[in-house]
Amino acid sequence: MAGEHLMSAQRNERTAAKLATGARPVFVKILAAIGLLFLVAPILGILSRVHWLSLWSQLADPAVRDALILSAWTSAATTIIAVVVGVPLALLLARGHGWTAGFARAFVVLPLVLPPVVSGVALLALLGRTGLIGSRIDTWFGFTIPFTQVAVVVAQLFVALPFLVITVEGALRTKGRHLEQAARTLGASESRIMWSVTIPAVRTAIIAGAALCWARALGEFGATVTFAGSFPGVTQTLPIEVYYSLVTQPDRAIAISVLMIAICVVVLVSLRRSWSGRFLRDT
Amino acid sequence: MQRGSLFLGVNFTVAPGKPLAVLGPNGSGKSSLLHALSGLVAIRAGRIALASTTLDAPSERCFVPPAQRRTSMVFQDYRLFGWLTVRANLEFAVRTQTRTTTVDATDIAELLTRFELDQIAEQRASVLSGGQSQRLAIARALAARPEMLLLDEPFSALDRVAGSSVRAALGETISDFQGPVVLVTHDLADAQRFCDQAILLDRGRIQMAGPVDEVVKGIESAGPLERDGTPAG
Repeated sequence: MAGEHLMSAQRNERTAAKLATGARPVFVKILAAIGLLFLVAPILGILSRVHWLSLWSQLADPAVRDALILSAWTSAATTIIAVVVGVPLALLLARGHGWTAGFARAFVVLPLVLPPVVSGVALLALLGRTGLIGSRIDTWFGFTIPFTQVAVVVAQLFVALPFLVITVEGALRTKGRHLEQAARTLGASESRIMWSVTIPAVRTAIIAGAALCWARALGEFGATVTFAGSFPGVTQTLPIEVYYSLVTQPDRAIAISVLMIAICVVVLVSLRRSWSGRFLRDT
Repeated sequence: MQRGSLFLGVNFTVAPGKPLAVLGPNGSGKSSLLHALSGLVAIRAGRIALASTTLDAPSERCFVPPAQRRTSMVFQDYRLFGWLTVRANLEFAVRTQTRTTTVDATDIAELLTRFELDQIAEQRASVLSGGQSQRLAIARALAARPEMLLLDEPFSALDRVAGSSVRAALGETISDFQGPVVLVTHDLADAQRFCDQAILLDRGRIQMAGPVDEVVKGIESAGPLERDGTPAG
């Protein structure tokens, strides 16, 4: 029949593709499986502990709701600020020359390797009541940043901004430059080139970078609890709520963890074109 | 221009109505020459002028940025703005030159028709074929109303059929263009078809210069060149 013929053709085509690419060595498959299992197993562990019947009641708890709202708006604010300052930073790093760009790039990468709690300590040293700038803010304006919701955004921004900058810089290094040259020969000013050529050329990378930044901000714990503290309803974000619930209410910790996994999976799936390298083929 | 590359004694004039072909082997500096003329790279010595206007002259501390040179360039790899439609690519060039947000639809329509792009005007540039892309690249270069037209191997990435349609479009373009035209090509037949004058570059030096037919004849009779530009054997 025609349908069977079509199925047979598809199967043959798949088989042909597999044959053409060749089989991977067995040790590669084994090691890859171990790596994948290491990433998948903890997620399965969480899912195996979920009390599905009481999941909604756990998530409807006022403390969880407050933490969710706080995490939602602070991570959104962090992402917006990161895009506003991070894209220009990525542009300067990608188009920069000499040792200054390399020097700046080192500081961009630093928060990625710093222990988050150290990041929190650094922010306290800068913006704390006795900090380098914080003392002046307190003296001149009469307020302090630590242990406020502003501090939550600052902590998230410090650790999450590099994700966006590195993603966008990577895209800018591989594309855009030739198009910018074409725009120059057409008479475009540098400002017009940036808005009409460079940014559109890497828009998918900007979106992917913003998504990474947002996910990192949402999951930020160490810098936040150090710099902003953990005041329920004020600075207690979802990750902090999970941590403190582990001891007293483990079912709630599991429920919040499942929520955060679900949110991240939804975002990642919606951005799967970016992960597949589509942003390298935008133009 | 690659760091360390050098043009020695490159001295030529391109008159309006007498297109110049730049010939030479790979690595001879043909594309680098166009980049210097367009202002994408600055020369370290010498002088580039368009009519009475100096565009680049280190000794006079003069460098006109590419955006101000009124020189359009058609690149070998098209460099279209893939996320824009065919029409929007042309409008970009027009808006850039007029420094306004309004576009004369008549000008755009004329270009679309002239380069057989009217049927695909609303398609994104990223989905065009090679021939369509190159015709759009030429149309976009003209939409900017340049005073000098630079063409960098416009047929190298095209198959025979696509190349035929682009050659037809380019022939009309070059014959109608009022200002100087410089065509970089490795195809001697294209040089003779489109140009009146020619120079042969090798390792940044002019090996031959003159009417295109004479230069082509000289190339064909000379055979392969040694690395220092002298005939082999």
